[in-house]
Amino acid sequence: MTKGKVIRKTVAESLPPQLAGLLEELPYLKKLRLNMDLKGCIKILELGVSSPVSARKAREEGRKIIYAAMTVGGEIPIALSSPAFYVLYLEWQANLYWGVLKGERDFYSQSERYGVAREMCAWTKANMGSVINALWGRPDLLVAGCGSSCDDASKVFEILEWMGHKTYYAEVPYRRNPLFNEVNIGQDSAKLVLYTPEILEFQVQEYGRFKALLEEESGIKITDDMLRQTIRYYNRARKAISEIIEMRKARPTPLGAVETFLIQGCCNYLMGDPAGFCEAVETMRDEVAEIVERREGVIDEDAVRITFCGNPYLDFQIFNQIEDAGATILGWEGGPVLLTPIDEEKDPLLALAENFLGDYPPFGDTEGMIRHIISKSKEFDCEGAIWNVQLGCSHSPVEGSIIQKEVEKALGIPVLLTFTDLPGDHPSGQVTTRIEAFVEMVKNRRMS
Amino acid sequence: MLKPLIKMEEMYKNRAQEIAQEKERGGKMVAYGCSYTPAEIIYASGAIPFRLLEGGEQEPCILGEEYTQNIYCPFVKSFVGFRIEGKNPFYQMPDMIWMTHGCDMKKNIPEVWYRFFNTPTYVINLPRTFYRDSSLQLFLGDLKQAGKKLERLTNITITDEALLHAISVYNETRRLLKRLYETRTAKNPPITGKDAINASQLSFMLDPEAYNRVLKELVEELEEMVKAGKGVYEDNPLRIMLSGSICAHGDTKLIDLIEQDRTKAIVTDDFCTGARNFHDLVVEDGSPLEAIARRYLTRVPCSRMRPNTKRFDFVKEMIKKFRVEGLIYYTLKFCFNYRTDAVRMREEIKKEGVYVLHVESDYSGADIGQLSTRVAAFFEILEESR
Repeated sequence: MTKGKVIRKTVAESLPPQLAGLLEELPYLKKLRLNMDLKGCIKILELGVSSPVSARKAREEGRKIIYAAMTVGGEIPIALSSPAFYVLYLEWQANLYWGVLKGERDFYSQSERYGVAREMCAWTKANMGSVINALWGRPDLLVAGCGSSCDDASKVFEILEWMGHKTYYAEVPYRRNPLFNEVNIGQDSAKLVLYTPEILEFQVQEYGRFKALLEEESGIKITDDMLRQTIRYYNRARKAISEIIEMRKARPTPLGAVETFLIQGCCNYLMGDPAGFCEAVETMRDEVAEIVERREGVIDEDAVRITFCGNPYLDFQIFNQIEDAGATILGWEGGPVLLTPIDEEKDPLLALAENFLGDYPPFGDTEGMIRHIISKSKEFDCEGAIWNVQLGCSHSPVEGSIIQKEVEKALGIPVLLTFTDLPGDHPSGQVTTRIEAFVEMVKNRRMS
Repeated sequence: MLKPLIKMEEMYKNRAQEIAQEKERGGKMVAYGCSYTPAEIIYASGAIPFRLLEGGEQEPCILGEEYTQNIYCPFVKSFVGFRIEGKNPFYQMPDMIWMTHGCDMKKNIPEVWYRFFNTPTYVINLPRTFYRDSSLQLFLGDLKQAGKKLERLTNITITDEALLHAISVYNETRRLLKRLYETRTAKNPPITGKDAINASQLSFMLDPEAYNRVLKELVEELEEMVKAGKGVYEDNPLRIMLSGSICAHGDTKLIDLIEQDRTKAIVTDDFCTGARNFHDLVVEDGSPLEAIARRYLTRVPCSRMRPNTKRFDFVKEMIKKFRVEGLIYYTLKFCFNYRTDAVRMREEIKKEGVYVLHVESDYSGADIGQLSTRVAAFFEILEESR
């Protein structure tokens, strides 16, 4: 029995005054149901939606604006270490800004004029629209993850470069099943090395290259101390988020999936404000601890326990839909889920490289993703997995079919594959029906 | 049809049996799907390099959707679908699959082969920033690993001598194909675009040394025809270049449409199965493995490279050399890299004073009417501007 239920309202229903103006053009965000009593959550939303204001202020202070995409490694921490830059991660900003991107001004579809196919990944189209229209200020530098990160994302940046935007390509090495690495031949699985020394050396070198570029752009040296300070912020945020995720094991679940996903995703770039973001997630952590103490929750204790996986996510509504169907998302895989602490003593570029190469599962074969899904499902005692990607993602469909087979084989739990579309275009009725049927199926399995 | 071309077709028809016999004697077939795969290394290991290159058929696409999706590149779907269908022997025979993570759609296909078809695979780490020295070192390091896997497969150590021999064989192929294409600079080319592209595609599938012997015969015959002023087209054909996504072996729908009455000549292309296949040689200097890595990484790039400006320069170079009057940019449906380049291609080539038609298709025959109309209208524009 749930002792007390935390009522989650839509953002629109309980709009805090400081957000009212900022949220005017964001109808999709306003529809989401969150625990709007959480001060930490309000702060996160505020950081996200006030980016145009923050970017303008940064420009007035003489800082340069960097938009990054598909870079979940060291590039953003390096850029955040310099006082000369204001850094945004495009995909996550797009997730908050669909109202503007798809609204009257339709920044989203503009990309089709420049060659981007209609059926291509929505994020990449949103990225292009954001840059062309300087949604969060005109960028001085675009940073595009490429290599084994998505084709579509870096392709759009290549077109933007052709259109005159200064672009840096951050090479991301391919992640191979560690069993295929020569260094692992003969090793038992507990001692698998996820990358070769050559790949590590390569990654450190690339981070050095990027750092040198930023120093040249700004005339400001990025020292080891500055990098370590940023690393400490990341570790603070990761610690708080990890504690929140741990607390979500409580029955009933004290924090909803939207809120959890928001902080995990935005942790990638600390929303351009490291101190502000850390403060927000730490506040949220303390607030969630109080909810746990009061034995309150956002969903019934006997909700079906799910691992959520896939990449990328466009519409947070799906998390509300899953919870409405009677499931709680406990295990997470996919998207930027780097939560392992970064070594604060080592050479910072080496520490960042080791952290990124050692933890982040995508950008390679599915082995890493499967491993994470299995370990999270076991850790959180999950009864099923929902894999969700957006229509137009070019690599995910094949990954999904592999993941489904391997996870079902390893754990004996069912895996639902779903595809969703943009907020507004999303056939939410169909998706809801499928999720409800899946949750019912999993519940019935409990009885057998 | 010229005798060497007939011979090549016969060699292709016999190739499956040839490989089967070699496998019975203990030989290994290493199949690959991307032109960035250094076939020289496979050859030097004693294995049979074979690029799985078939396309143009609808049924394998449909079957391939079991592991992919309907909104997926038809070539990649076929890569899986031909295996499922079971009719094409080449797709049943690989002892190992090599692939690069050339594009998103291709990236996980080796895993499908590994997990569902029990075929050992290796995905080569192929950097996109091909112009950086660090990327070359990353690629080279990966090829060393790949080589070790091959050695375990074939029980043959890959020596520098074996690599040098492989380089010389494959460079010879490239030189000969370059000469073949150059005969198409003639006012009335001595070989159709279809036959030229087919000859280039067969270079990925036939035994390299046997292929070179027949290719040499073909090239010498073509060069004689040029000297004698003999061509295979009607007088003064419209000179067309093709560019775009992979042109698979068997994907001839558009090519047939263009050349059906021999008044239009496909004089060149920039396909990875065509001109980009042979444009760059391995420079035989220093470590052979490093020379191979350098050639493959820094050659005229695929659209997946960042940035692929060098490809546009190559297209412009080909336009000048082959006196191209119109460019047809052919992309496969859901091929996002090449598709996204379409607007840029049109803008860049317009500056050269050449019209560009962008067409998008797949392996079904449903759009043949539409394609025909668009292509005919394009040719009318070109004729009027002459």
